[in-house]
Amino acid sequence: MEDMIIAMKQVCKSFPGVQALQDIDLEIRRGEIHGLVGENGAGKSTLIKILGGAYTATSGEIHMDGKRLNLHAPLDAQLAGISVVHQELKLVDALTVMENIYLGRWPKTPLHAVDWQRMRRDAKALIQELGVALEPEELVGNLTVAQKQIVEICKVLSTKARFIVMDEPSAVLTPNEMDILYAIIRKLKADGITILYISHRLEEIFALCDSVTVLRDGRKITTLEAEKVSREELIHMMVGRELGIEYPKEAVEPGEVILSVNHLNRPGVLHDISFELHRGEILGFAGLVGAGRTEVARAIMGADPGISGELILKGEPYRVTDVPSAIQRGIGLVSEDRKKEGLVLNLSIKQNLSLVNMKRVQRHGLFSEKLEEDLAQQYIRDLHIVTPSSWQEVVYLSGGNQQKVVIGKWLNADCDVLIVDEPTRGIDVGAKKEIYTIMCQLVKQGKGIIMISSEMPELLGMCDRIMVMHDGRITGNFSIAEATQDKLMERAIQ
Amino acid sequence: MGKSIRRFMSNYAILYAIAILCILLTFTTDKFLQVSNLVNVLRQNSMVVMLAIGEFFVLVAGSLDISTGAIVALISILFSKMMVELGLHPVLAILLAVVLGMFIGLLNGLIITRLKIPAMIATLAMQYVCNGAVYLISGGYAVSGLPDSIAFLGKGNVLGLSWMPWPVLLMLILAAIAHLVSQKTTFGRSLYAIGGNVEAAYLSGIRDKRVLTSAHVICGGLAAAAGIVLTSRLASGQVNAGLGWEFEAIIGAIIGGVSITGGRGRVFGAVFGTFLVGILVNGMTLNDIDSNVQKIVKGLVLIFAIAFDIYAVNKKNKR
Repeated sequence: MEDMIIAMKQVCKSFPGVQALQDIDLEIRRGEIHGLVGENGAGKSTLIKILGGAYTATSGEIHMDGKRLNLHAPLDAQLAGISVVHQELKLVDALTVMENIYLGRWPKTPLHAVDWQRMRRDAKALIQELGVALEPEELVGNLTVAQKQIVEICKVLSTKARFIVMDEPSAVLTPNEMDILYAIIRKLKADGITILYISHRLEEIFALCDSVTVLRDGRKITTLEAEKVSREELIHMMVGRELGIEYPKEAVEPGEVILSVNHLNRPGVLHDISFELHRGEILGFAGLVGAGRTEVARAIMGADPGISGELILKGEPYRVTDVPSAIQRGIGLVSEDRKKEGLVLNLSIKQNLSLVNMKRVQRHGLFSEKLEEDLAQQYIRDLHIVTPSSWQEVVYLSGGNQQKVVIGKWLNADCDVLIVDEPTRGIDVGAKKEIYTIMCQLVKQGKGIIMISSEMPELLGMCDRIMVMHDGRITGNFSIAEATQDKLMERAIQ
Repeated sequence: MGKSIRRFMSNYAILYAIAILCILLTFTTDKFLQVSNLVNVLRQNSMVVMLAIGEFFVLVAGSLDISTGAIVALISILFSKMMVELGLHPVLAILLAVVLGMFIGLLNGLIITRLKIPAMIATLAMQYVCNGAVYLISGGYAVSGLPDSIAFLGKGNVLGLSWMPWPVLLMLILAAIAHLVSQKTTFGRSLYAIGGNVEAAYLSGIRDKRVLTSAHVICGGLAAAAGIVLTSRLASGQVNAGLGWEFEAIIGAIIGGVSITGGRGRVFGAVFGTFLVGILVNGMTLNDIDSNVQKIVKGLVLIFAIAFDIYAVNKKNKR
């Protein structure tokens, strides 16, 4: 039998209404670099959090060195020798490199003052061990992202970790910096440390990993030797999620071009984005989280500064200055974070519904109770919003009902172009279907919809055309007839 | 049904508090319930209430103004000088004084929205600027010799009815307009929206900076109104007019249910909250409680009110 450092047995994790992980059996050999791949929402983050002690598994066992672990808090994992290097680095910019490495564990002199000398000496030794150039007394705020990552790795090593989980460490690095990271990871492996390496970039998996595990829909698909699998096979195993929904898509004859976007640029974020949206069309945007899809939406809405390029709406060029003027021109955005960007939680359903188009429920410039109530009742009925009354504060509604209020708000604004960003995230199947139906009705009325989603089946089921983005660029443009999950994924991970 | 009773109770909790306080004071001192005392409490506090209505506008929008007391003093001096030294007609002086107050509010709003300085600090600085201007312009002396024609604004009674002083009527009119504006207009709804969630409000097409700045302009205008009434009442411009009033106005608004974190509250809450504080002060004075002790009590009441407000907001957000 092979020497396994970690063995997960039948691990499940469920959240109210969602089965995030199901029956995960995962074995990781001592001293290997083990890759973990999967789409957005495949369950990678949940798995990492369980290994790091941030979540507790609903059922199942985790063994380390053959002994069962009880992970209830991040400290339990740390004491066992498991450490996680998170994608968003958790460092204090105002402190030095060495203070960050030993944060919360600063060495003390017998008088309980901080033992600076020892801290400096230990930090230096750690950094040298990794073979990188870094001053222990440099402020972390002055470092590059790559250097910060090295500090994070030092921090993990200083806890005597034997198993390190790296969550997309390369996502923010330049090619040069990646070479340094690769060298460090290989050095760690040579020192006998086991690494679980999560990445969207398959070439990294092939360059670094000994074996690779594929997750999909919260289940483990398989674990393979990295050299025995091809890129295409891996992609094919990652995609293929099923939602178990019939899409209420109806064929609509696309009309004239309603919005054309030409050479949109935002330094470092968006590069030369061009596309056209027709009346009666649902245009999908696929891509991984962070590919720049939301940024395209915000650029069209005028929500971010520093954007160049040309936008033509209904044949008329317009300058993106700010959101209110974009709305006046007939563009709407159902943003991906309904609580932060979509709703005023302490206002009532009816007040949120009328927010974008208050004039519609006013007479002589004053709100009319009757008009506002009628409007609210109409949307509560049409969108099946479940609530005791229209003056219920939206904070008390379920996620699906909150999302319907956001959509109702934009229906009331009567936009010609509606951008929906992850419109069905975190809501139940019934509410999803109702939202799809509303989108179909809108395009039948001759509106154009841009649909951003991380769920490929949803894009394939609802859209007429699908654009794929990667790293701020458009990397694919498929008609619905040619699009498949494999092709979309291929372009999304480049 | 049970729910609507709870709503009713929480909406009118402030009235119960006032009633309980009044009953308590009736038993501890026989002077409290005299008509002259009650009318006096109304008259005295109606000016602070004007400030509290101003604070209502900025608090609901998620901001704050601690310069209003200093604006009262500055307006008091300038308003008097306009009439006494420049010989302006009182009506013109009143208009100019209100415009000046609004201008100071405009500065507050622009400093907060354009320079992105936190409201607390920006208006603290403005308090200092106004204070300095008061002493620079007045040399530290009161301005006397105001025309008799304006005295009624502070001292007179409507139609000679002893129970309806002019300041109280003015305050009621301002409160009614403020209520209408806050509940029935796009601007009013926008205040609640930006105070509740500025990002969502902006993405819904509300020009948040413009709305917030306007709220500060209104707040400055109301401070000027209070300054005009106070000056008329004192028949002179005083350098220490309105001293500490911003504090009482803010406590009053918060006790009346206007949230320090923005997005919640009503004009009538701010009005009755301020009267509650006013009655409390009146009661303490009638019971011969030392004025320094009164200050301590007011400070503690503010802490209690804010703690309760934050507790209530957190409880709601947890759901």
